[in-house]
Formats: sequence, C-alpha cells, structure tokens
Amino acid sequence: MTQILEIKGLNKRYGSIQAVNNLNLTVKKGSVFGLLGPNGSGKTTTLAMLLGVVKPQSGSFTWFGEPASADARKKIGAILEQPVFYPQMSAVENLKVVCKIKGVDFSEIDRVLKWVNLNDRKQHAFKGYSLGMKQRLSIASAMLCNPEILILDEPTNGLDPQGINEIREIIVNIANSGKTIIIASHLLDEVQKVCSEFAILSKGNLIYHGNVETDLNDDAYIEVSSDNLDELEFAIKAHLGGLTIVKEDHTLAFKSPDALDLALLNKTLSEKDIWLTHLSIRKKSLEKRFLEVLKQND
Amino acid sequence: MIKLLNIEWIKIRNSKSFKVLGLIWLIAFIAIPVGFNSLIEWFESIGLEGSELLPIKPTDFPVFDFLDIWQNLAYIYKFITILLCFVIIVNVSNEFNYKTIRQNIIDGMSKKEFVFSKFLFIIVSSLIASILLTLLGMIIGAAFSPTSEITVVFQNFNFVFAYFLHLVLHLSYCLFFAVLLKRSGIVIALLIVYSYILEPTLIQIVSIPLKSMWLTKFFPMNASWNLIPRPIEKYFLFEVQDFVGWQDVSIGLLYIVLSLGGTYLLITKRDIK
Repeated sequence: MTQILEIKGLNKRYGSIQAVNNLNLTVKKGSVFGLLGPNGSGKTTTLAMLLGVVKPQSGSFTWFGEPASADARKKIGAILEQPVFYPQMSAVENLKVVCKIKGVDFSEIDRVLKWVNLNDRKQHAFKGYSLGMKQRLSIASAMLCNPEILILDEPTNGLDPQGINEIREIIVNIANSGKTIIIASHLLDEVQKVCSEFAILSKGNLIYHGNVETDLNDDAYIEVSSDNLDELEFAIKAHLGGLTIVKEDHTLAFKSPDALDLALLNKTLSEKDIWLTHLSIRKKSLEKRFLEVLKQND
Repeated sequence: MIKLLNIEWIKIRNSKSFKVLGLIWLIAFIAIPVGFNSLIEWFESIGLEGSELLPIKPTDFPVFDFLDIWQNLAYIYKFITILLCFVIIVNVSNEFNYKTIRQNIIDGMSKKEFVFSKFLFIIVSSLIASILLTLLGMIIGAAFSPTSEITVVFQNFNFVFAYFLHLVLHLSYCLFFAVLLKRSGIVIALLIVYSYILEPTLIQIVSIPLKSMWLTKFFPMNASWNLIPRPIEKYFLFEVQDFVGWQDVSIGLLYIVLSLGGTYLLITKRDIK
C-alpha cells in the first residue's frame, strides 16, 4: 500500500505551549485513520498545519508523496472544527465557490447535495440551517472534488443521536468506497466503529499508534452466565485449566485463552448439565485502551 | 485571474451589505452633479445675478464645462469614496469573521491567490467607478459645455486616471487594515477618525513650523486626496494646481505597493485561525 500522508518531525509552539511536539506519522492509502486525544491535545493544530493554514515551527510533511502545496489541497476534502460557509449564501452558491477553487464542474453540486440529503433546501441561506444540515453540507463540500482523502475534524460534534447516526452512515459509506479518511475526535466510540488505525495525541505528543482490530482483540474477554455461577466457575476451570475468573453481578468473565473453541466449551458444559443463559465475547473498548495509554503517559 | 474574479463575483453578488452600500454610492454618484446643477439654477431663479449682496453670476462657475469638468467631478467624487471603502472593509473582515478565508485556503486556494483576488476586486471596482465618471462627464459636459471639440473634451482627462489611482490607493489601505485588524467596526472607526481628524491635525502641526507643504504629501490619506487637487479657488481667481502632478502619482503608486506588500506579508506570515 502506498502512503498518502507522511509527517516528519512536525513542531508547533504557541508562546509557552508546545501544541505539537516532533510528530512523525504516516497514513496509508485506503485506511480509515482515527486521530484521538483529549481537548487541547493538538489534533486540530496538527490538521491545520497539514492543511496549510497554520505554519509549522519546524518539520515537514508530504501529501501523495509531494511537498505540500495549494494544488495538493485541491485533491483533499477537509473540514476543520465547525462547518464554515458564507452565511448569507445558499448551499449551491457556497459550493460554487468551492467548485471554482478546486476546479470542479458545477454539475457535481447536485450530486453531492442529493447524496447528503440536502437537495430540498439547496436554495436556502446557510445561516438558517440546523447544525446537522450544516455538518452534512460540510461533508458534501469535502466530497465535491471526489477527493482521494477526506479529513474530518470532530464531524459529529454537537449533533443529536439521529444526526450522529446520519453522519456515521455517511462516513461508513465513504470508507467502504475505498477512500482514505482521517478522523480527529474525542468520541472514541465513534472512532472504534469506523476506523482501522488510530493514533493518540496528548499535550502535543504522539503517545500511541495502533491498529483497532489487533489491539482491541488481544484482550478479548469471555462473558458467561448460568443459573448456578459457582458450579459454572468450577466446570470452566476444570475444562480450561488455570484461569482467573472474575465474578461480576450475574456473570463470570475471564480472559480468553488463545485458540479458545467456544462451541466445545458450550458442549462440555451442557454435557455436565450446565446450561448457559449468556455467552458473549467482550472486546476491550477503545475507550478503555485510550484511558490506559493516557494514564501510562501522565 | 478570471477564476479569481469569478469567485469574488459569486461572493459579492450574494452580499447584502454590498448591494446596500453599492446602491447608496450609485445614487450619490448620480445625485451630486444633478444636485449641483439645481443649485446653480436656484441661484439663477432667485435672481442673484447682479445682486448687490452677492455679486457673483452662475456663469462665473463653469464647473461643468469641458476642461474643468474632469477635475471638478473627480474632486467631488472623492467625498463618496468612503462608501466604497466600507464595501471593501466589510467584505474582507467578514472573510475573517466567518473563517471563510481559512476554508478557502483549506479548499486549495493559495494565500497569494487570496490577496490577489481581493486586489482584483479593488481594481475592478475602481475601474467601474472611473468608467461611470467618464460616461457621466461626457453626458453632462455635452449638455452644458459650449465646446465639443475632441481636443478640448479630452484635455485634462488624466484626472479620470488620477481618480482611478485615488480609488485603488484608498481601497488598498482598507484592504491592509481590514486584514490587520479583522474587525469591520474598528477599521471603519479608525478610518474616519484618522482621515478626518488625526491626519488633518498632524498636517497642521507639521506644516506650521516647517512652512513647507512638501512633507505633507507623504501623509497616507493626503497622498490619496492630493491626486486630485482642490479646484474651487480657481473660480475666485486664485491660482490652483489644475494638472495631475507626477510627484503625487509616484507617491500614490508607492503607497499602493506598500499596502499590498503589507497585506501579503500579514496573510502569509500569520497563522489563519
């Protein structure tokens, strides 16, 4: 896989605050990359530098293997923080400005507006839009040039559950079409649902860089429950050997050994006349992982 | 270049403040010569001609005759330049308030292109105003002037060029200060206080002990006003500068370059948040 973005030693200082400290990162083509971190950890500053609006103190980055330029930005669809448009202008007029800048034909406007379901309101002024509509217009605008990479900064910030769901569906759709996406967010649940890779920033430092699938599967827990928990615990220990089993309210939980055959476990238990009322695999949530990493680095 | 003009046109045609200010300016543009003419007619109608109190005749004021008309119109129109200044100030500072300048750059406009697109906007507005001045001058001149000889008509036409330069310079100042301060209210207040109070006072202070008008040519607003010298005293038999001075033009051009250079530096050196 080729690299779409490569960051080398990026630094930014605001007065006495080191907003971004010697950041090195690569994003591969086709990945959905989550940039995590608490508020003020340098996510937006990093993106602002990558998008040419904030000047780095030192360090460099390349887009599509080329040094950063206005022309490279024409191939990127990006929103930083809140949706930004001319308030008095309609969706169509606003997107015309974007089309002109990116060198895209006006005929694309209708396509993206239909796609985010804003076609009915396309002639209305932007200032009258609800937050969800504004957010959707942002995504439409970012998709206007059929970009190779999409950068979304807190795309669901301030939205209601329905709005969050709409945006998430749109993001999943885009990801499925094979496009590269970078999402900056502090909503971890969000990132876990759509991202394949993630990096964690704290106080401007990159403190973790991992893969959602492997990192979170490593620590899978098995949850079981039956009418008699003591009997169940005894049987599981007999079947699987030395295990630490945590007794929770109405369930037992234990760390999954490698190559655990759940079907066999179920069968063994049933042969002992123990009938499971609950069996599930609990993956470690990104949230837990995130908090762990932050704690280690404090 | 066409692309940048196109972008500015989309932005401006949807702007309410542009429509309102532009319309007020246009009304004032047409009303001033019409109003001045009615004033003269009114003098005539109340029979001031030959009056003992005011021994002046309207014909002593051939303000709309060719030769004089270009300087007179250009001079009068300097007073409504401030309306066009408001247009630029509101337009540019809104780009910062709405953060649209940041989005423009994120979308792939270079910072250089942004500055250039605003300068193009200034050039085109000034050009349109100058063309309107030419048209209006032709019409009024044809109606009032006793001569219509081509050589006479276009003599002193360089005041139209001076008017164009005055507009470009004034609007460039506005561009610079709107980019520097980013708040339309502050820039407009500053413009009014500086142009009508601060600079005239400074000029008085400087010119009294030095007894020289030379230095005052370098005051920024004065540099712009000086491009079209005041013609009024001419009609009271005083001698006035009735040509466009090359010195004034050079100073004007210098200040245009400085304002644009400053704007460019501000935009490229600063982070755009």
